Amino acid sequence: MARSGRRFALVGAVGAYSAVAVATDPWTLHASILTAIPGIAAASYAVRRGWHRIGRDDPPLQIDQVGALGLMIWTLLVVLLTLWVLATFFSHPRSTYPTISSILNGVFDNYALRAAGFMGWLAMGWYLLRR
Amino acid sequence: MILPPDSRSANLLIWALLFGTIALWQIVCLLHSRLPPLKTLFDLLCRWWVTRWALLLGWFWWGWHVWVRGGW
Repeated sequence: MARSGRRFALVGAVGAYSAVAVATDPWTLHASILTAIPGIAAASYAVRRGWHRIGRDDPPLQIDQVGALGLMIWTLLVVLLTLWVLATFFSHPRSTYPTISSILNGVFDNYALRAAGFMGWLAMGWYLLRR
Repeated sequence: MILPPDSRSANLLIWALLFGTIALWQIVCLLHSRLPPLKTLFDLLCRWWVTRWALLLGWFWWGWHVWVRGGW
């Protein structure tokens, strides 16, 4: 019960932070500071977790032939996505060749979606740090 | 060199197809225990300090790009 309460409070705090962080326009000091804080916190936490150490005691990954094939398909998908990102980025005009950023700019005109997006970004960072 | 088609709708469709395929492959991987979900790819990349820092840097760059340099 206490644990779920803590989790609820944490989600609430992250939601409140996200709501404040995206409350003003981009290209402002406010946006820069509130985006930099999670980055600095993440880097500090990563160092604390020993991310800078070259060797870690991770257990060996058990990947059989089917798993290796699956990872190859993931690699192929990531390569395809990267090529497409680059192809649209270097094409103009932007209205004809939308990038992920330009698509998201339209979506994030909505404040609630923007706050949810910021929360998602924080969650992604937290997920990475827990690896 | 990939040349995107000269049509906004076609390019949006390609975006949707790419992300749709990634989502579909993730679902297939989650349903089949022998196939690696995206989490396994992250686990693999996080085994080396260079790639885990690159992932974290990529995460921060993306946030900065969207939230500080955004155009909404």
